[in-house]
Amino acid sequence: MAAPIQPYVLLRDVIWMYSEASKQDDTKFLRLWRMAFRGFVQMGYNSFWQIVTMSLPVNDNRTVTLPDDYIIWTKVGQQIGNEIVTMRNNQNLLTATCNYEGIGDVVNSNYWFNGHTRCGCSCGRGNIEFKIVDGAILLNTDFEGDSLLLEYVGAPDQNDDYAIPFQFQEAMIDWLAWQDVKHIPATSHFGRGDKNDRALQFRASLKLAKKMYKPFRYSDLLPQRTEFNQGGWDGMNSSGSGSGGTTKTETFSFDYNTTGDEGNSVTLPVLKDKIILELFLDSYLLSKVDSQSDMTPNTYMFAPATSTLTFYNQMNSGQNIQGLYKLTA
Amino acid sequence: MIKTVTYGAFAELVERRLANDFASSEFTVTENEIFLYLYPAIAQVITAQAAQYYAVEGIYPDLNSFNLTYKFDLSTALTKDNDSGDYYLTLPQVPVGLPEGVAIKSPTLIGSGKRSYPLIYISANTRNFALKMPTPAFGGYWYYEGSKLVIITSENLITSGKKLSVTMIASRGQNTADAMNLSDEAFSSVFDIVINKLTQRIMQPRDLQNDGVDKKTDK
Repeated sequence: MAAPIQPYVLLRDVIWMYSEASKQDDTKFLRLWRMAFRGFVQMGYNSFWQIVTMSLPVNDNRTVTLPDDYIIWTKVGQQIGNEIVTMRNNQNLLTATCNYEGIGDVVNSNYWFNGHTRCGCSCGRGNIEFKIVDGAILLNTDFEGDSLLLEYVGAPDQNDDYAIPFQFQEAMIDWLAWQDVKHIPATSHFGRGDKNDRALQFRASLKLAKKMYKPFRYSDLLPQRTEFNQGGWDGMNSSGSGSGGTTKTETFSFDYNTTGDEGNSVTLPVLKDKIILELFLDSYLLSKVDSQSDMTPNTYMFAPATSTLTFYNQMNSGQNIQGLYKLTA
Repeated sequence: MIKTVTYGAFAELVERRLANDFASSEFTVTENEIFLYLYPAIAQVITAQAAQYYAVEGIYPDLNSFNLTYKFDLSTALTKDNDSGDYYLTLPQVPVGLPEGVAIKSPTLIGSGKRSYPLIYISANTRNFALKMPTPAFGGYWYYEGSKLVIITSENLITSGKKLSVTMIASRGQNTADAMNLSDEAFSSVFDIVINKLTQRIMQPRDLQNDGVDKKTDK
């Protein structure tokens, strides 16, 4: 039989891998499957179950029925024109006196109570709120719109059998190895040391699985940092790298009206006293060269100078440049 | 040269050993009596081998030399228990007293040159709640009580025309012409056990003098 490597591995295949490795027979399958299922729920919820975004219809009573596979919400929002507004979660008790318009009035029903009392609070767009009660989302009575965006963790579909990302295969095997002996009485031939070793091994495997499943990519870091730093230069600091400086990220839009494929020297005054470490043009990592003379036409390159950056590639108007720099001062 | 030892040949071997020759018509040990000593002797040797292996390795061996696979036509071999809705069939023998998975392997469905995943075994300790908990969304279930093999699966599978393949340790034969499912070293042990038990039973006097005079006296 062939052994193709797929992004996902069925739970039963992982169980048989463990059965074979531990020299057990197939009559132990159901016991092991249930252990694997428990591990699947824990690992899946914490690590690899997919976030789902759905547009849901708003009912006449300003409630939204949750999808069948709903487990827990991550974001609730509303699309208004081209903008998506994220709504706030109302944390108040259902029986509390109205603190916000609408939400606090739900007193005698699992659904929206229309005979609400207005509190006089100014519920503008920024106060759009929701509350999740008993299988439904409750909205303000003045909620306008016939649909709601719900981002949530969805329960996976047990189609034939559950599948896990292959990165979690060894973690699941180590989970089974641990659970297989964890509850066995102390009078058995499994001692405490064996149980503890297996627990530690699982812990290490799970940590590695999470790292493999969501590896650190430098390009992933930049947008997050720049998003955080959009207010200006004095944004988020990372841990200092190198000597005598602090590493920061910066986003600046590059608006250059190209005139050809020539080496285009662009003056960026903000670069003063900063050493450019990495530079991205849109999503492309630019290669750093020492001077403009080292550049090759039509490649993504840049040459830093004291206060200017020179690029050599086909520039387009409105392209976005992201940079990681180090303050030298 | 003899290659295959059948149950019939074994019985004859035992008779000759006990009678020190071809058994006369007055010889009182019948084939069936020999087999009644033979079956437990085979099981005893197999379980002793398994226990010895387990004591050293901590796991049970496959015991392939003693395994035999039986095929059952699902449409004819199964009987429905109308109270539980489950199906059952009768195995050729009660599985030997080794753990499930050793005495009897998980049955699989076969047909059209294909083999299914093994049916899922339900332990007796969990039988009353096993299927009320989260379960896989595939396959059927099985368990056994003595020689009764119970199958819990969909009606569609029962009427699918497939066969049930069951591998188990065979310590019994179906007829005297069947080859014995026994490795040679186990054969020797089994033979000794049978002879010892039958010798005690018949207290057969034996002529040990090679003087050409037959002094044999049958009881």
